[in-house]
Amino acid sequence: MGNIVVSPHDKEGQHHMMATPTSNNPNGGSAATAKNKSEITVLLLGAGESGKSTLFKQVQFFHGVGITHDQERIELIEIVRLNVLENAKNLVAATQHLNIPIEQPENRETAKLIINSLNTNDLEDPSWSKRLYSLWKDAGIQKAYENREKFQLYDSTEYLFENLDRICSDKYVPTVVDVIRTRTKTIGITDMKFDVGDGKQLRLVDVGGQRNERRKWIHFFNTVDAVVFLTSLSEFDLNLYEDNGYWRVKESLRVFNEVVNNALFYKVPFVLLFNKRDLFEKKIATKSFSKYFSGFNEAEEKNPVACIEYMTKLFLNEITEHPLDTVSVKTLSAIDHDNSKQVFEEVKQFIMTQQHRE
Amino acid sequence: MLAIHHHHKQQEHELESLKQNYKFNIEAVFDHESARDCFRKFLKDNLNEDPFMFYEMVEKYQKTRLDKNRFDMAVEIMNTFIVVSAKHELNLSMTIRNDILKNWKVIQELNEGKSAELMECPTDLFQKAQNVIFSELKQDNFPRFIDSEQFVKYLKKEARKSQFKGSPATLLDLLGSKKAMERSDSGLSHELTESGSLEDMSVVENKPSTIADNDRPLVDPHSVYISSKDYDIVNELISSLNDSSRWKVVEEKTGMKTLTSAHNYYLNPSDGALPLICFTGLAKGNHKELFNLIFSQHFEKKMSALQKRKLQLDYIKINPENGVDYPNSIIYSELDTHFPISKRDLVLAKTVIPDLYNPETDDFDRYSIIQKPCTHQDAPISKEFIRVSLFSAIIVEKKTNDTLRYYMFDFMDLKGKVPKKLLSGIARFAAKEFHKYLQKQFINPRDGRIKSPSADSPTEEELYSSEGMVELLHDHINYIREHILPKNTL
Repeated sequence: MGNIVVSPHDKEGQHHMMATPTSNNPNGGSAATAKNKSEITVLLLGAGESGKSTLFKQVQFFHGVGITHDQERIELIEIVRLNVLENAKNLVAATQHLNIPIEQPENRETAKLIINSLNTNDLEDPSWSKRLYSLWKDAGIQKAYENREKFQLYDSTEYLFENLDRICSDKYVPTVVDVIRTRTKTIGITDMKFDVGDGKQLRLVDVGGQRNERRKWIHFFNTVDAVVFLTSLSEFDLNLYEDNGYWRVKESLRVFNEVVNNALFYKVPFVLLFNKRDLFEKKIATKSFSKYFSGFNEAEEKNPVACIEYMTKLFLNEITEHPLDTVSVKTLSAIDHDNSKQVFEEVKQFIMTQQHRE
Repeated sequence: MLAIHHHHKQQEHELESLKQNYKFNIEAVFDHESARDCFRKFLKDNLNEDPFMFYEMVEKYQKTRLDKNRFDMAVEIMNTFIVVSAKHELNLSMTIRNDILKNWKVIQELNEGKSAELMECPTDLFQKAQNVIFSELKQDNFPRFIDSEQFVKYLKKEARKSQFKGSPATLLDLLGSKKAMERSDSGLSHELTESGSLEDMSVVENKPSTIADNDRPLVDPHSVYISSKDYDIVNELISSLNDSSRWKVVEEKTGMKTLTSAHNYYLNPSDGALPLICFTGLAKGNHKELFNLIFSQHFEKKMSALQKRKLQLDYIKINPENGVDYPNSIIYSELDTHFPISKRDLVLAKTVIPDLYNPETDDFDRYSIIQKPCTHQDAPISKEFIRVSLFSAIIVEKKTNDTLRYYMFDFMDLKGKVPKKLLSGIARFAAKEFHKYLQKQFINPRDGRIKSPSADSPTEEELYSSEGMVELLHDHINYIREHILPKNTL
């Protein structure tokens, strides 16, 4: 996965394009002069479903703190199966909501069971793999899936349904990819620490992203040494989980504005990650990007680089206080292990370099 | 009895290695006060106390009996947790939040200007949100809690308490169960005589078993209430009784037989499987007479002696369109049992199914009483009790004009730290005793005839109905007469 970095001022898109400082706010940044601290706190921020926890899980994996053994992943069987059930429920509910009939009678029967009584224990049965797969392939469900921007659905839906054979087997042990693909809404905060050399430790903090969760972020603002802000590229046709009438992009921009311009972060290195690049590329192939952005040239809408450049401009335009030379912009596909590893390594280097500069 | 006192360090070490072998259970942690407090503290430290506060408040709300008081609590819950920007606003999806807001608006309008006695406020107003919140705590925060230093510290502190000294596993058993690492062997290896003493039992390791390939389900897993599939399973069991590969005869006398199944059965696959007990017999007389006797107060009294407390939680009306095939009475009861199976309670769905309508007598040739484990929001929750699973089916049917046959199937999973072998021993012992009792009570030993109702036998009005069973049977018969019989006679 390529790692494109774009600057609003420079279309060449060099690797680390730092914009020039536009202001030098004297009131800003009393926090985080962390030069001699042995612990560097990095906050993962962003609206709901921007991929904070996915990146967090990836970092856990490649630092060996995550669930690397089969025995530990066995504990997650229930969560993976719950994801399958929730996906199935959401799809069935959507067919009702969108008035799309489920075509086959046996699939209607399955749908009824899913809504009323199916639980994760039932899924340990190959016959359920067949039934759920048949439901997934039902023309009605597929039509609802094509219209998924009209309701709330996880990104992993297709992946989970295509892997039912394994998931419903009594021998099932979740793979690393299964664990990465599993959606669990983070509530509250969680953190991990790992050594980064020089006797220093990096403390990575993951948080929940929905509106009510953001009130909790402020607890860390005083002690933070760097912020990694995630936003999902593929959310351009989606509305919020906590407010179905509100466009996700608008929300992300608003949250980004609040965070990046916060006086406490004035001197803090700031990374903006455009996540879900993989999904985004698939999505623009079939959906119109320009429909959602009046300022975007329609002729360019199938060109991911142009789209991402446009998004980058939108976000960087929100920055009014933060010095642009301490802002780095990258794209990411957090479900891709190698890409996550590479991007996170770059983010780490960026943060460390900024720390030394102080 | 082992009474070795370990040094602190040694015990702590043992505890940590034991912890690895356990799968902890959020429900058990919620039921154990000090563990619940520790989890709450963990959530608070991780900025997520709101769901916990909400959960507790809804618990209190649901237990509140007076509608007016519930209404007042609902106002507080709405303002504290549900409305946008509330002080402790929960992380709810818009769908769930809007559902609650919509229902709440209707409730407010209904109660406007009403006096306290006339107010109405449903107990399940927050049920769905509470379930979702609980499930999210279970998926997101609970696994982190189990891995946290806080939880390890808590375990160490608890283990120093006198009741756990020397046996840290008893503490872990309260909060979870040992991970199932291997499949238990099934079949008739559970063979055990009633003479097996408790001392012998205590050395039998209680491995939570997972189900094996030839184990069979005993109930319809897709319905909390008794469904037509449950009845199909019972019918299949009856027709299998002559198959010697499926049933072993434990005892046989004239007119009565006790059998145990060759296969193991399960109610819930994750609880493991056990053999099923059946006793069956022939008697002279009218099947309805026997049914009434079984249904009678006398019999209920005998059963009630095994229970400390019993209450009817709910009555579910028959509604086949919505998947309720039969009327169901939902019963909670506390068992009056002794060590090592003390402190057990259960929630059952119960029904009576009249079947095989006979136009000649204008009655049914078969009656079945089935009960199976169920869940209910109003079931009392106590950290002291272990919820057990019980299944039974009693079938009485007409054979000829003057003979009847009865079948009883019994399945009992007493949960907790009871060796499976002991369990099946108890079950078989209980079944035999029960069978003898039944014979003695209802059937005349001289001529094998149903005892004629004696002067003190109950009239129908007196039939024990604390479980709502008499009303349930009337409802069911009325329904069949109105909806099913007319169709069949066309």
